[in-house]
Amino acid sequence: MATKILRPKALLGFSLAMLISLTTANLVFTLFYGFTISLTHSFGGLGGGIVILQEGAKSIHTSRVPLSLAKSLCRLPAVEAHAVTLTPLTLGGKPIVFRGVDTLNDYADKIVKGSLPTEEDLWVLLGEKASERLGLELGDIAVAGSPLSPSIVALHVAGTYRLGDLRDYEAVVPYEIGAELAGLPGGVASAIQVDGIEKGELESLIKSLYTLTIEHDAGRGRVVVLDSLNTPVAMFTMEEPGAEALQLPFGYYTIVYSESYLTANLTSILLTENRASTLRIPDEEVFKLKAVAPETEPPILQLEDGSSIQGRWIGNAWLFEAPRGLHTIMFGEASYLIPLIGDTTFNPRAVEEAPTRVEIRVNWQDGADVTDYLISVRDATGALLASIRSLSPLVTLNLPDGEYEAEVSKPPYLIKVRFRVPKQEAVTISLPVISNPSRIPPRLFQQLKAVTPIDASAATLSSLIGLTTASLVALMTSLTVLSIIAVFTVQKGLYSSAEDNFRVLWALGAGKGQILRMVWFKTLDLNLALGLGATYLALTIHEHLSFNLAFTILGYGLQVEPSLILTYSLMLSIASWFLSAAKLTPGMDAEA
Amino acid sequence: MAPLTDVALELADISKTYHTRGLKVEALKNIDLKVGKGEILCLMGPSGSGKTTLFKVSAGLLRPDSGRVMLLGKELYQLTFGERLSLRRNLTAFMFQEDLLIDTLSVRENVELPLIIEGYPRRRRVEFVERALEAVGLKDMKTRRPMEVSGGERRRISLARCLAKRPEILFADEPTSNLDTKTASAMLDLLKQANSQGATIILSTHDPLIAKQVGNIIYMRDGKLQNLP
Repeated sequence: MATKILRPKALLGFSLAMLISLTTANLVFTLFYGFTISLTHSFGGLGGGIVILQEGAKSIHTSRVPLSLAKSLCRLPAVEAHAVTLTPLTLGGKPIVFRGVDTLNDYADKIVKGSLPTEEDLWVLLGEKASERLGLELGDIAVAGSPLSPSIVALHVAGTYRLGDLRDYEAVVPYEIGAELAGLPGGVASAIQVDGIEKGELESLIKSLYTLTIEHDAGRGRVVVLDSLNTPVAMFTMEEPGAEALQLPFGYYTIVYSESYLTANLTSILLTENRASTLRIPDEEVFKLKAVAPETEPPILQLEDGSSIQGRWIGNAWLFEAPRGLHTIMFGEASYLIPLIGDTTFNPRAVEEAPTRVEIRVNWQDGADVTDYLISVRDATGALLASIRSLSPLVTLNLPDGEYEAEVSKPPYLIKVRFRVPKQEAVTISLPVISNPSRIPPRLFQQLKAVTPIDASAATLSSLIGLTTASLVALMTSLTVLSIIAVFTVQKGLYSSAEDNFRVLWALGAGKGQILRMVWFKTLDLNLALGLGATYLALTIHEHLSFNLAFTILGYGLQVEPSLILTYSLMLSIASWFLSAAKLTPGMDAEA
Repeated sequence: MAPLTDVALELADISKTYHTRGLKVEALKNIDLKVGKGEILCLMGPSGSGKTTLFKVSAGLLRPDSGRVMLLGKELYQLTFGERLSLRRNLTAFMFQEDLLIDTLSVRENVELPLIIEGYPRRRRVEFVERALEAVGLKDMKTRRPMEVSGGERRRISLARCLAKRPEILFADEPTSNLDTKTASAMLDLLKQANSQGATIILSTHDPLIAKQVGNIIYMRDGKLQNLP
């Protein structure tokens, strides 16, 4: 009876108008909301976590954070941190977001075609949607370009993956390539994703400055404090015994003693609170140098100051006792530099007949050659096999099979790299390049903020469409309210067209409650049916009109969640149904 | 005429003024009227004399500016809205001048409507509707829509809707208007028949011939009752 009291034509018009209104509202709403949700996945991954961004940066694409922070955070118990770069670039001439990652853990079991790249190479992994959109397949080679950097890189597609979120619209590259394409300076990342720590705790940690007090004796050299990327962040000369108080942000720091070519790690500290460290470097300390050579060929040790001392035969080697310094040991006509900063065994004979030729190249991170440095190579037992002051970036050594550690000392840098022979016959050692090194990390630290992936995505979305987060919330609220008003107006029109019939009901003795029961309650079924219909329609439109292609923002497509559309449709249809009750019996009580 | 045993409707000093676009129209002026239970009364007067207003005030559809309305022993406008609605729904019926049929419902459904509102069970509704349609001679037209029948038949549907619920008092506002003489006479017979079955009937007309057939006439002019024209 209820639907008969309402006019059939009006009912048909109402149903069509409701379907159109709800579907349109859904499409507009999900364009924003669905995008935000997907972007959240993109930031936090499926596991959530916290994102560290630069304060004031409008989005992750323009954010700058210290890369050393990621490595320092990993030193905290149960904390995992990964630096990422997210940069809008072009690949094969089409826009796409490039994600530079330092781990492929998230992608390990999500590869659809190809395989996880295992070697350092110029590879790119494409999300399934990105692959479709760009028309690139496994094995293709495409050029990546960036408006932010002059870099142009040819990348080969190593595989495609499917994660089921917005990251399927991205291209994944090794972190170093991502950073290069993003035009990031050395030691800087776009953002850091952190798991295993609360947001408040993390924020308090990264926003504070701590005092590191270093007490020391008098010495000839300098003390250098390096961050987790071996970048010097503080330096002072030990002229008199005393204490130096350094203001540093949270981080994992290595305190290094440095003197001409001689560099030594003294201690490492995870700075999470104010700390004091005592360094004792007595000038008069004497170290033992054990030189492996035949008893018949005694070597001579020439000290830094030019004086020479002879060794003592101890059955299998010659033993010298000498102060700290960069000395020279001579075996007949051959001479070697010995950095003596502790008890050392030197065994040059081990390499004399070695079969494998190993090339060690030393350069700066930007690719420039490093010259005038000291390089030492030790075997697995810690014995010094070679020690060379080199003016060339290339050092060639013959080494027997085994594991080795090469140590490049270029004060204030001290970089160690492990390698295996014969597996690695070419080894590259890079020294960090940071302009104004003593200031950059602290300056970045003061501008950091820890945000949830939702906040990060909201901020990014707002920057993409040129709105602040507050106005984005206002826009979303307005859209929701407008949607409700639109469907309410449609529903009101339905009842208005049957207003005469309601008056008949009232004249026949039906009260408001009765009219509501007779008509309004019965139309709930219709509203729910229309809500379901609008859900189906919206999903069908998404599917058939390929919104993934039509609506792309910086290479991202629109992620549609059916449950979201269903909830929104039903919410709107029920809200309009509820509000329309007021229109059903207008003025009847007043007339009575 | 049925014997007058008790008062069905009593109006005391009823006045009603309409204010429209700055104009003041006195529709009812100090009306006093008493109608006994089982009585049939014809209110006669020209168009605009205030008949419809008097009917609406008497039936609880329009609150008067002043005065007292006693309907079936209850002071109508002292009741709450719900009580007045209940009294109107359960004991009275109103045959509107404009029929007020719902075009989207069938003849049967239109007649059934007040019974649904009153809360009758379906079985009794079917029985009462059948009886009412039979009484007005429209049993064969119950599946038609109001748009598909003549003016006279619409009036009869309207009457059947009133009779179906067996009201104690029936207000029939111009039940014979726009009907030919034969149809008007038949309509009057139906009202008399209802009166003979115990219903108090108050009808209005501007047709002297119809009024004469009823016999018990009160004249109305310019919002006032008069015993003789």
